[in-house]
Amino acid sequence: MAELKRRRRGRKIKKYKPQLYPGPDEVSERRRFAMDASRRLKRFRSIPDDNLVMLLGHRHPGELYLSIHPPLDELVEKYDPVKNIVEPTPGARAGDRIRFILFTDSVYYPPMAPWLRARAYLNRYRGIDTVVYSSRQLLEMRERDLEAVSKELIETNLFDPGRVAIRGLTTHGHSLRLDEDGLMFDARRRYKFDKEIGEVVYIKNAQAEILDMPIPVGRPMSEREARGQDVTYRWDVAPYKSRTEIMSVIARYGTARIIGGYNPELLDEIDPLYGVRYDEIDKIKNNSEKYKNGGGE
Amino acid sequence: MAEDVNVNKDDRKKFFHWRSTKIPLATELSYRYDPMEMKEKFLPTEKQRELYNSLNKVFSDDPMDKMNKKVYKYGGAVGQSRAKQEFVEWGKKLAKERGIPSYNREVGIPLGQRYYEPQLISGTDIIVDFDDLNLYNNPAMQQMIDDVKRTVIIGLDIPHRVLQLRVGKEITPESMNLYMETLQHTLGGGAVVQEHMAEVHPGLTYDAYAKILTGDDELKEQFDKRWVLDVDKEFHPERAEKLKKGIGESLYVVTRNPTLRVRMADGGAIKRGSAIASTMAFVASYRLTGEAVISDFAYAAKHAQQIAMGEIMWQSRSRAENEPGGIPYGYWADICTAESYLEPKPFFSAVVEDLDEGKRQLDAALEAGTIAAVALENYWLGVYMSGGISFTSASAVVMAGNILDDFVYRFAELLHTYFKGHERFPSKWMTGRAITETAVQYMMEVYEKYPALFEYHWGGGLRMAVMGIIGPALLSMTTGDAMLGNMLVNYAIGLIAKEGWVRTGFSGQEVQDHIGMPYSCSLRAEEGGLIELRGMNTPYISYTATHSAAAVAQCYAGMMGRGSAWCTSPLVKAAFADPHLIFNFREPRKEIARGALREFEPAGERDIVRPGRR
Repeated sequence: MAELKRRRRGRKIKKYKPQLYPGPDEVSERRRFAMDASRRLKRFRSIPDDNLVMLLGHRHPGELYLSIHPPLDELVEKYDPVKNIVEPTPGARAGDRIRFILFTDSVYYPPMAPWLRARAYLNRYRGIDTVVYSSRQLLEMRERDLEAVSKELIETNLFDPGRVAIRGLTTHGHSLRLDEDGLMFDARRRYKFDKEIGEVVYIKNAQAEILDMPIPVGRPMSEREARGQDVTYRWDVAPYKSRTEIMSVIARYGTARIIGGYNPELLDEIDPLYGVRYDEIDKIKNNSEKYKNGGGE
Repeated sequence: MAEDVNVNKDDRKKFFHWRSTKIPLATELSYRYDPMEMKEKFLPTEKQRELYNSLNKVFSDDPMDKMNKKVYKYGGAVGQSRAKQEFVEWGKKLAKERGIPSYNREVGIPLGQRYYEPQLISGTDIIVDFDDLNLYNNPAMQQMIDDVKRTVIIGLDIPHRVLQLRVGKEITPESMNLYMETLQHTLGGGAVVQEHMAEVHPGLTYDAYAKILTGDDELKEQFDKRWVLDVDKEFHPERAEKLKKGIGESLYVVTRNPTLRVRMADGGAIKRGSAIASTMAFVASYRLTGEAVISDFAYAAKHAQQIAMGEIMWQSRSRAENEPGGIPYGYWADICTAESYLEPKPFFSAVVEDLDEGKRQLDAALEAGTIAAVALENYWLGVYMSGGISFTSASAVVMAGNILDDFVYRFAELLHTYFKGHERFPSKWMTGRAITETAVQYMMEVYEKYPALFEYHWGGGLRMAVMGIIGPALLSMTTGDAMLGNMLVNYAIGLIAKEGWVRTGFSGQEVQDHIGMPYSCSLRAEEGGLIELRGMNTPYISYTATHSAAAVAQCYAGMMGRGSAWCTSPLVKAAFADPHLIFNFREPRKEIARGALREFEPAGERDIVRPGRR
């Protein structure tokens, strides 16, 4: 990176601060917000703990957590310096089994989307495993950790009862047209819109087992509200093609991967944004300066 | 907020802020309005689109409406689909007859809560049930693969040389024709050397035959026309000239094993079947005896110049030769002969000069994509690799709904309008990137504009397949560079589409888009190689569906872009233009539609030997 160092010479570089995501617009900002662990999520609704446990369907409310190994404090293990450095999560310390929550995000103005979920989860939470699909996103954690995280994910601005759903199986429906109440399609009919209370009510848990009592999860956002929370670029909210900064970052990234994949040292010589050598860019710049000042020689 | 901007027209001034340059710079506010509120203004234009009409026909609804009030009220799949009704009747019938339950719509999840859309076969007016495009239900699709699997090309130059120099036989037109006549007999299961043999009923193997293929007109004239594969007849004159030049003066025989053999055994049996049939025909027609030189001759006749369609696969996918997974992408591109009667003109100059000619070339590319989707997605991944009932949706994306047709026609119109006077399109990463970005963004917008299309391509993998085929393949078509297209598949799916929607396809779909983009353009054998010679046998190509059609489409598009007559092998290209094949490789979509309508007659049936058929 000698060329870059030369270019930065004389410039004072402040302490590194991750930029998280490019782009000056609102959608980029929403993405940055979701990914930034230092920013607190906005709390929109409240779900009682027991309701959450019933919704997840992994254990009954009040039931003890099943464990897959004795608590770490009781285990006598070989010395491992990494274990001293990494503090175990409460679930890992207690030896909980690993359970999951799976969210399906609609394509119509979703407040979260699968890849963003992965990035947000990895930035915000510890002790996770996550898998990205096209419509859904799996989060696996120790059971008690999972419940704490799920509560945050459902109660905050990352969840829209109408356009995000908690599903354990038969998860498709994200790209289907919305139903007459503006809810995302669910082939298992886990939830419905309760017109009396004006909220989305789960009548089955994530595994599509019928619940003893319906669990309200809050009012679905109106289309106008949902547009204000949308994290995707859409032609009718924020057209993708006008995002020059993101496109240039993508271009830079794609080109750099190819050039650097062949030979990382080439990145000293070639600008990944334009795919041409730095000295050629300088030449073009000099020429343009020349023309600006009244043409050639 | 969005509505406010539209209501107050004075606020439109705020859309732009003016600098001293007087050039309007778009601000964030410019995009905070809802174009759907102005739907009435652009709807007349949209209605002229093929896409609008097709979706309207398929969904019987406004395709631009993002709400479906009838969902959950359609009455199930059985109520919506003729095929499903038939399945239910058969399920009941079977349960009664055999005493063990069979197909039962009462178990599992209720299908058809959403609209169970029929499929409009692209390029036709034929609407079929979705179930009729399932590989198991469609005999045309099965025959397509069978026709590929049962083909082996054998070079005759080396056997002839061995016959002349080692065995001392004379090769004459009479002897060669006698060999060909004998070969027609042996390929179908007839005996020639042993006096006491049980033979195969010729009615079972009526589709077994062999044809001579050569680029030398004089040599061709020496053969009986009944078994000559005449390149001049099957291709556009200019294309035929190029092909003949490619094939050269060598002599080949294209052998078609009976479909029944494919059904009974595998591609390895086909390779050996052709070898033994050819050898026995030589032995009989040249009256060869059991001397030691015969072992040399047997090698020369069987293996020395034998060209199988597919190679043996590596251990974890272990299959014999001539199975779909071992066939390189370039051969798949050659197997489609939709372009055979078109002038071999580079696509870019063709479309700039004549829009219709450009569209015809694009149609041909879509036919190639159809073959690849059926063979590799449905057959290879959907049956061989996953043991499933085939990925019907993955191939329907390519062949149904006129969706890709609409996209590519738009692109052709764009080139025709704005690139007049240009002779070539530079095959550079930077130009390719710009075009791919534009194409992918355009397609994403179309999906957003048409919620019915989103529903039609309901899985992320399906949409990513469209992105992967259209943008990069169109670029390959424009530049003639298949490798550039391959690089841009990764760029289109793994970067552009992904950052726009923050989602791509199903799990692992991006595996091959993220293993390292240099792989996509590397020519080193352990990293990739020439795209035409890669295939499902390449280790880094995972079991991931919806990518392979794009790769084949690029190879084919590259061929069309260069104005070439063949992609990888002139022999393969010529072999599949044969009118005696059961499946017509010139019009795969129509053939598949015939299969869906139950009008296609496949080979390899055992009707003759079934009870009461004698």
